[in-house]
Amino acid sequence: MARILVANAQVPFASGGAERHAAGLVRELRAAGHETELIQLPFKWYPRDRILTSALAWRLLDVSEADGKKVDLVIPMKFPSYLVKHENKVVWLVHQFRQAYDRFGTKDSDFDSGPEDTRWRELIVQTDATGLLDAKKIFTNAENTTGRLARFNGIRAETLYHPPPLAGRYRGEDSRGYALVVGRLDPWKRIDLAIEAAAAGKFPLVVAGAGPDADRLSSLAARTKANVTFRGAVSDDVLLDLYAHAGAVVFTPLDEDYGYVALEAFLSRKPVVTCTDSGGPLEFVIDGESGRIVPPEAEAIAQATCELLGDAARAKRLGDAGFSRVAGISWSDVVNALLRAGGIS
Amino acid sequence: MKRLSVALVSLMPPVRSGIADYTADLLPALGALVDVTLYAPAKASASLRAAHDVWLFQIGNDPLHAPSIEALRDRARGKPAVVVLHDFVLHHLFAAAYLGGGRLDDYERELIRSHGDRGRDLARRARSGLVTPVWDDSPWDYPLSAGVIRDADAVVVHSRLARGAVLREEPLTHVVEIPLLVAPAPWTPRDVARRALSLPLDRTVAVTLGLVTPAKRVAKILDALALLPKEMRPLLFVGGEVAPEDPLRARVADLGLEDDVVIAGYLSDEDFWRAARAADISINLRHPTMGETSAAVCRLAGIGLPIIVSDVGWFRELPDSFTAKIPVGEGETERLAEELSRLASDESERLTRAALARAWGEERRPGQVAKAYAQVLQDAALGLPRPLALSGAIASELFALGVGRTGHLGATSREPDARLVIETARLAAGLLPARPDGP
Repeated sequence: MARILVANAQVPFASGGAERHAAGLVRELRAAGHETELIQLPFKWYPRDRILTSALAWRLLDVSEADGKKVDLVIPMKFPSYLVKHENKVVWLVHQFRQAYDRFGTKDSDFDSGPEDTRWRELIVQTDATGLLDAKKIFTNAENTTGRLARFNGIRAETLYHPPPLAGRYRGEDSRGYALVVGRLDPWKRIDLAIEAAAAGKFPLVVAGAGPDADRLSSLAARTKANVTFRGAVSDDVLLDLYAHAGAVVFTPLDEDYGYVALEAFLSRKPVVTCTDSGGPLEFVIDGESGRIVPPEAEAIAQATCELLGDAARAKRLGDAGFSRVAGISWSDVVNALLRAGGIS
Repeated sequence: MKRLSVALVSLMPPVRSGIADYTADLLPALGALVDVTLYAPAKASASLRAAHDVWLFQIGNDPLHAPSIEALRDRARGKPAVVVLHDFVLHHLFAAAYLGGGRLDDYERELIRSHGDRGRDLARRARSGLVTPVWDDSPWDYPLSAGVIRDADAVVVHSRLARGAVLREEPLTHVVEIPLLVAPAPWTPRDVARRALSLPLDRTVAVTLGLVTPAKRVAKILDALALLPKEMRPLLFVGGEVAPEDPLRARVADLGLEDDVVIAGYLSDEDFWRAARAADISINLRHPTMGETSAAVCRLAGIGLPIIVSDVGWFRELPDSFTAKIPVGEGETERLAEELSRLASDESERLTRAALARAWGEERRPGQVAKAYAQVLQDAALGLPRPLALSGAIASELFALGVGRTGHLGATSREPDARLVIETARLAAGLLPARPDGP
């Protein structure tokens, strides 16, 4: 039995996929018989210098032992937790600080391209190199993350997929004729695209999730007269039901890292409509085989979704193909890969 | 509560110096907030024997300030000192005061203080007679200001550019940016001013005011005017002393601009402001720059003139809303011609920019600036500490994070490094033992 620390940076009072991901890893490592704890430090990214003082805080921790007993393995997951020093560190990277990378200088980042922010960016790049390169091995959660790490940092990593939080409980049942959107209501999730598609295609859309974009999205639905039911944040059982009876799942974020939604849809044997620039889901959805990949335009999403809702047999065939694609993703493979990299049998 | 007693060491009028004028503008407003005793630089050392809470040194790149710097360096000073660095580069000051005055030992000491071994090499070359005018050729490589910055308990600068430069030299400096003040300027109705200067009432007038030197790029303005069709040209009024050997007058004739340019020569203060009030546009090109701010530009903007500057140094920090910034070098003349033509022909644009410039000036009146000074002086008098040096462990971890290295993506600003070091030092102060030599 090994003593393992999973390290994660956390924004207090905010919880999402990354937090569930870390909790899932702790649960599975414990289930595999290892003494495991989650260690977290709050992360604040403003003003700028807080980003690096947070990194420094991780760097100055001593996690070599706990209560006189050796810590055998540390698995950090999110920036800047992987700055933590340990002789046996295996990183499973979920998030870099994307404002300084692919979003740098765009409207999705508050970093402009002036000399000062460019220097902050360099410091973040250097910080990532410092924290990642002293790990024994780097895994990422998705090909998309692996690609970004190679492109921006010149650092190679291996992709390690993991199942979504309710794996084992998803089920597929007959369609009730609605399309489903699941996710936090954030602008970059682009749920407005799905609502505009529902208006254009006149199909019923159910939205499960809450978030800061809620008001804007409900006004959009009212203005466009789209047939949208906002369910807000739902319980696990309700979510499983919504997936089980959906005719198709619409998942159109902008450059998602991984995205549980495509996996959850496939495990519920539902086809997925996603976009050419959606990132993570493109690793699982094959156009015409397990779903549809269309340009990020309401008309195109509407047409693809209507076709699937209007042809239940085809939707089922695509959903089944999706299920076959992701059914093999298991926690045991994840746990084995991480422990093997850390030299723990 | 007892009023703060401040020893203000500065040049004052009638000395002809921008800093003297600045101090004269600041003094009444500052005097309303703290007790000020004024000392000329020559009396700086003597002032240290007086009982004041804090010293305020106004320093620029001029040998007249050498005695102020020597008093600042006095280890026996014992009282806090705030230095207002009007120029980041101080090498001309030391070259003129020490090298020019045969004080090679003093010159060498300053070079070593600021630039270590690089400075020692330069001093060695100077001693062997190989004097290189680095103060002209590469002033930003040898600014010679680090020693002065270290001697101060707080440094006041007038621009972000200078703040970044100070922090690059000495990351742990307590440096405060106080915008250059915009003193109200004498008022003369526009038509009266034009008549007094024999300028036409019905033509757009652009002025370029101040001593004419190559750095003011007046020749470029002439070239730009010549590019414009005659009917599109504003009248250019050049108000400032022109050296007899300057080919400016000949150039006006060569370019056929006799009807479009007035070279007025040296202007009295009264005529300077008359010319400013007569103008529709102010052109203030500058290259190279020593990191200085321009009080004249601030005041010209403050009276409501749209400004045209070179896109360099501090001038870049002027708001785009009323400032046109002309890149130096390729295309400079063409861009300048384009801007002149736009402003000459579009009265509504001129008036909009003028109103925005005037509003900007209002926020920088001496009273506002004096309040900022009073705060810095109060902090310094109370012994506001510089951040403690970082412990070796934290310093080496910061280094691992890339802090303190030259950027590899073409970034030029080092301010983030300095801010981080300061912030980290503040956070660590009192928790960890300081290392006297810092990171």
